[in-house]
Amino acid sequence: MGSDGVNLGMVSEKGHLDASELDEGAVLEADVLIIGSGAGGGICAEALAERNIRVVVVEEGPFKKTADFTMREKEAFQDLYFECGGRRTKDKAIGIFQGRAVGGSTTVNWTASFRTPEQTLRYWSNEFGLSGFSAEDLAPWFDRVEKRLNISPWLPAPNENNAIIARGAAALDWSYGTVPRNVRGCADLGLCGQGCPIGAKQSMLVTTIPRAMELGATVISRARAARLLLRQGRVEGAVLEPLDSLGRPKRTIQLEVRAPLVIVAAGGIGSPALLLRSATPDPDRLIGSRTFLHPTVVVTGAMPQQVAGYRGAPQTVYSDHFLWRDGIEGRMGFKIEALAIQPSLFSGLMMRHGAEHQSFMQRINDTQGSIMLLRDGFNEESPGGRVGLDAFDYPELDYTVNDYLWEGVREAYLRASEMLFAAGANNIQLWHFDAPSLTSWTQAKQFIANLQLKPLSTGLFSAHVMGGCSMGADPRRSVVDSRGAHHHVKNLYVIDGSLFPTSLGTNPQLTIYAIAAKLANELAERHWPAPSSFQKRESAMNPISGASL
Amino acid sequence: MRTISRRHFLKYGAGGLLLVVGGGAAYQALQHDWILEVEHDSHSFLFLTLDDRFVLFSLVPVLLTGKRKDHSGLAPEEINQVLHNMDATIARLPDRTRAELRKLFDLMGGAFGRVCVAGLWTSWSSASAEEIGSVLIRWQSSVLELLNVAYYGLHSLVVTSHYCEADSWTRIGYSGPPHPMRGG
Ligand SMILES: Cc1cc2nc3c(=O)[nH]c(=O)nc-3n(C[C@H](O)[C@H](O)[C@H](O)COP(=O)(O)OP(=O)(O)OC[C@H]3O[C@@H](n4cnc5c(N)ncnc54)[C@H](O)[C@@H]3O)c2cc1C
Ligand code: SF4
Repeated sequence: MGSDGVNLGMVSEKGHLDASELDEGAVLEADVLIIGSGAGGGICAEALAERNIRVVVVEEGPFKKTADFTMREKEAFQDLYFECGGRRTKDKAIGIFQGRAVGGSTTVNWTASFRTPEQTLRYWSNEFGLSGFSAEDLAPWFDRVEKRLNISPWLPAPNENNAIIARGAAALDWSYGTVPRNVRGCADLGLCGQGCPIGAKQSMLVTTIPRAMELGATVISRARAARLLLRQGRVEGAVLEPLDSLGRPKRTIQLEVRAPLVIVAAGGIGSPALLLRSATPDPDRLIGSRTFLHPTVVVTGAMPQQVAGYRGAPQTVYSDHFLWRDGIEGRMGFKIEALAIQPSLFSGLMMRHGAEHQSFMQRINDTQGSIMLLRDGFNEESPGGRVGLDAFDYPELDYTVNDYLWEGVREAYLRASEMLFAAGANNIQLWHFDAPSLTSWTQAKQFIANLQLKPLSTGLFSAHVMGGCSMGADPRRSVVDSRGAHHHVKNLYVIDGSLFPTSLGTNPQLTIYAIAAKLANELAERHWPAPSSFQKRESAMNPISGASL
Repeated sequence: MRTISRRHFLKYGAGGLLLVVGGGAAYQALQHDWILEVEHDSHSFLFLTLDDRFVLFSLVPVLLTGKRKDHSGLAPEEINQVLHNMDATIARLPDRTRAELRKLFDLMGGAFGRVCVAGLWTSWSSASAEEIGSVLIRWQSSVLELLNVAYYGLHSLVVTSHYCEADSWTRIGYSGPPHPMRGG
């Protein structure tokens, strides 16, 4: 594994080092260090390893395998999510779900796999001067990753939780469709959020990461990149903190990975935080800014029939009918999808306590859950949030919800209510602290028009953290260029969801896969140009002198 | 909000004195079996202290059911299990959040902090379900960040720590994960 001074006895299986088991420090070398093993990191690791480039992947979370997934939320939240699933924005108004394990958020995500909307790509090119990001430029990369991850529309019947969305949308003559998913042999169990127990979900954990390891990549789990090693305007590697079994830094031991090229793929919040901790040059204070969330609101319906929204593939029907309701820069649009009704997740999101909380829980079987994901970042009034560091050097996201966003929330509440009544709901519930159960569309319309929307009273969450290291042509407005290369530091790349200049208006994983595949392959060609297989091997074995950096 | 103004009335009116005195007596009567339930739990906690657990033993049932422990339908072992799960979760949280929660629990546990932070003049173990319920509402809507931490931090910790347990599922008619298999 090309390591210096590491006790190889600690490598628990070929290519994997669990840093929580280390009792002494070490220095490792690689051609490319990838920080983070999620959507961006996983795709990069495979693409580079396939070219014989020596890769080390560092991951803060544990290396859990399919056989470790218990299907129980208890273990899943503790083991696989940042802050045990309880991460929140600085003012506590928005709950944030992010995966923290080998495979990143792809290990726990709900498998919806959409291409980037063309409107979004056009906006990026026009507003941020991106080159190589038109729908035509990306099409071959989408084809490639869709094939790699077996992405296709879900053909079996949707579960009742999703079927209700289709029924409501159809009754109102709204457009809706079938969700494409990245699965192979999915048993329709509906436990995607706890880690797929049969390895059907084609997450990075079961696809690109094991393939990269077969090709010689090393994965270091339970190690957090504390800061990048920066010298004379270039990156030379990173300092890592091994974590203990509780996932907290063991500050007594230090690991270091030296590599002439580093790809930061620690995800939204994680990537900007690392750049901030490393005091990366940032003359215009852009790192961490423009962090977007697809702020999401919930409306549930009490149905006359059994729904059992915890069973079956979680998201199979969607409606984009209101996504571009007022043009790209107009009022905020939203995508409608289903909320998987797992009891612990459901209980934690609910804006109630006491007897009311309990009675909603007792109706879990008859409850339909709809979520409306609002697209943020396409308007001056939607600047997103800013990632900063707290007194412990740990990231914190400051995201202000303003009137522009509240207008979108009100419309989302309104349309979801209309849809649920059209699908036959007995009553509906906005997940808002001050909202009673509403029993008719007329009542709902009136109530929502007058409802006071403010932080903390309005239930808001996000499972899509994007931006913070935004991509663009102008160094005064962006952190990295269209290649993912940092504007000021040589050989430092960011390749993950944090480089989006806005949110997407759709679930992000497939966009990240395609962009990562494109940027990683282009990067490899630039730094290790057209080698014969022999030379390729040579350069890979000799990273500093051999690579054209 | 009605309960809050009633409480204020009682506090300042003549009835208030009676309530405090009465509460004190009830507290004495209740204390014994509470101490046993909390103290006899042999679980080794990583974060929660004995004082924290006494407070939580009053708070958790109200947060989950709106009723005091004895009427909540929750067995003492179930409440203890919630405390174990909360403890395991808190131990995995980042330094900042643990520091926030430590500050909060320390305040809640002391008489001075209980009055300031929760507005509770009686001890947690003698406060009525309504009184604890209005503490929760005040925390939820407060402009003070520490109190929002109290609500949003404790709310999700408590409810998720309960509804991740199979014992809670039978009560809500959830049949649990599909097959009794442990992964492939
Ligand atoms: C519950 C849930 C459901 C979702 N459902 C969907 C869905 O259905 N469809 C969809 O398209 N998207 C979904 N998403 C979102 C999608 O999975 C993410 O947008 C995507 O995985 C982000 O990719 P990324 O590479 O930016 O970051 P991630 O995949 O999150 O990977 C980042 C990795 O970096 C690690 N890391 C962070 N900091 C450090 C550090 N300092 N050192 C070392 N490692 C570090 C993290 O632990 C993490 O593993 C969902 C997300 C969640 C949480
Ligand atoms: S729904 Fe399919 S992909 Fe998701 S956990 Fe179940 S089997 Fe795996």
